[in-house]
Amino acid sequence: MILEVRDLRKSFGTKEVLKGITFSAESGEALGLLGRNGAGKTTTIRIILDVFKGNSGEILIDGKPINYDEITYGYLPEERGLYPKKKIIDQLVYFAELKGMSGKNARKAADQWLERLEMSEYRNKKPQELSKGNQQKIQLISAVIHDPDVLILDEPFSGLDPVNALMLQKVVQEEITKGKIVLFSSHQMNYIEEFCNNIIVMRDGEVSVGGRIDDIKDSYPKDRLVIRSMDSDKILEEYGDTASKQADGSIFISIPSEEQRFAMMAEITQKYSIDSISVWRPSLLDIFVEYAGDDEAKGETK
Amino acid sequence: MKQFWTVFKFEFMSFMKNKSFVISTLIIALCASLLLIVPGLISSFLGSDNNKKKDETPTAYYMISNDGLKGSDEALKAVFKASYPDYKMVEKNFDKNAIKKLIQKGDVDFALDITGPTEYTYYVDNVEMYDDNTQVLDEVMKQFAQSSAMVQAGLSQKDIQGILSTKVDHKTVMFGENQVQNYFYTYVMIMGLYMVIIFLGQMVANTVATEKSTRAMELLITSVKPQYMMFGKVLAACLAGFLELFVIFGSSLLSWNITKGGWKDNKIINMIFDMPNYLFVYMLLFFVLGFMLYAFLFAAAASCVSRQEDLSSVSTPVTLIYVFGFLITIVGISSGNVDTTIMKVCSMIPFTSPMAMFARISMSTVPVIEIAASIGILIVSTIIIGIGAAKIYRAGVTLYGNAPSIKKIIGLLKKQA
Repeated sequence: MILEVRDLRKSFGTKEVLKGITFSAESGEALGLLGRNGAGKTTTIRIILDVFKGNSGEILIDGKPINYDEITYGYLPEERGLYPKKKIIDQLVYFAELKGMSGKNARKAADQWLERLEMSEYRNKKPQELSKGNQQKIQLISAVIHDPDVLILDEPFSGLDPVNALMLQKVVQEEITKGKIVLFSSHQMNYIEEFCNNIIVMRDGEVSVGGRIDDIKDSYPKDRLVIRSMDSDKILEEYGDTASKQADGSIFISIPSEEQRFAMMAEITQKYSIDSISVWRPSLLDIFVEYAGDDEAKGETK
Repeated sequence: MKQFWTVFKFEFMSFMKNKSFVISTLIIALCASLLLIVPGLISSFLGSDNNKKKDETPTAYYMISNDGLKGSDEALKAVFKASYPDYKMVEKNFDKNAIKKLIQKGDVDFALDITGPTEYTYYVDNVEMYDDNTQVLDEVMKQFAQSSAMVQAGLSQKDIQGILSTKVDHKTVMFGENQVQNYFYTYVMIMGLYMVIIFLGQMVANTVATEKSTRAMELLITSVKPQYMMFGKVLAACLAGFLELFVIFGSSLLSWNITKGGWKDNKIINMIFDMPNYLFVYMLLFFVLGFMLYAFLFAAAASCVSRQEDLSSVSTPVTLIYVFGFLITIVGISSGNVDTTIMKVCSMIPFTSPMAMFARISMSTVPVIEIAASIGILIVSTIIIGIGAAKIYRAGVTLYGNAPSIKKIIGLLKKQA
């Protein structure tokens, strides 16, 4: 199954929030939605979820306009969306029933999920009595309980301790393997790297870059070496202006052209005692800062 | 449709699990029952106030301070005694200060000072609602004066008796309603409607505002059609309100039935429970429609705010419209004339008709066509407002921050349509 978003536009009043968003996501793969606050991620998600309509543009499933009665969704909103004063089991069953499950199956599934996420003891508690991380677990259950075709996760791991984060990561990974379309929005780059093969980076309502993460990384020029060495002072001295010491102790050396990178690596390893040397590849954060940041920030990184 | 029932069930159960709702209902029902049972029980065990006094017959003093009447005072005394069979009529010369003390102490119920053939002073502590002593005495004195005059004119005692015992029979054929009797239960019903609609309307507004502020609304709206959401919510609240009324009025009715004997002297209480069945059906109809209309308005208002604290600023206008309708109706029924132009107009306007039309049906005779028109208008507007409310509810998801202006809401409605 392929979810395609084509040329989506949306204005609130005179403010144009989305200026033609196009991307696609496939079953069994997670698509990372990146962008700064206010870039239009949540608006895009809401239009896909039919909370409101875009001014123009299409949302297609396998090439056909999406039919909201046929496609099931799971949605984990960035901000908690639980009733603070209703029993957890009651609201999980309620949300699942609204998504079309029978009362009996909903109850069974809710209990299974609570058990799996080690939340059974909170079954009859109210969300307001739970920690933020535990509320997030409940929120995730309500997104996946009805086994939806499309799963949209907005900052699923915020506020979780490492153990809980790991537990939820497993769930998300499993959902991806099950062949669901997963849209994943987060500011935590490590999670995006972990789950997503594809990303789109949004800036001011436009997609500034999109595609496979590896392809995007490969598109950067390979004209810089990253070196870790005991002899860093000597290296800095020899390469003068082209070399610079980084905050983490590594040294960046610019190479005049990409072709020379292997020769240069050989040369440096021969001359000095080197712990590690590699051609610089951008991290997701570098990509994010370049494509999601405003023009000023972009200028600084280049 | 399944979604509607899911929402309905969930919302209804929320009411049933809401402690403040359940407890307040039970407390009101308990208070109403106690109010009806306790005095009733006391009267049936100890005998009513009147019975209690019968053991020691209440005393009343009288004196004839007019010398001109002295000659006929024996006859006058006999008439007095006959007119107040429940009292021990004691002839005693008293002065104002002494009698005041006696009456205030409760030794003497009232005192009469006959100051002339057609003049007297009535001394009593409190003039009670059903105090008819002066009426009785007026009649007695009048008859006495008339018969004295007739004696003087030379009529025989027999003729006089014949003349004075002339009886007038009357029958009342009522084409409309007995307004006095209906006044009380209309009042109670309108009050009941008013309280339940305000109370539950606010609760509906609260649940919507909670959904909005906790962003549960975002999840809901992506799962349910807003019409189902809105109608499920409001009808659940309506059923809860109906149940509340049923519990309160039901327990009152039951208590009244148990202690009926003790209440036989209390006309007001009996009038309230002596409501005709057809009126009960109207009451139900107007309750359901009026409730839904206002619950939709409250829900729509609540979906426009993002924080619970802002709720009052948007729900107040709705409450004001409602209170306005309530006041007009109360003024109408209190004045005894429910067929004024303003009441007629209000009984056609959907926002006021549930109370105004109900009051008119109950206290006057309203042409069937008017009732049908009023109900028709109400049903249509309730449905329109319900659909509008669902749209506002849905559009409300995008409204965060300050409470929006009416203009903005209308704009949103247009966009949705």
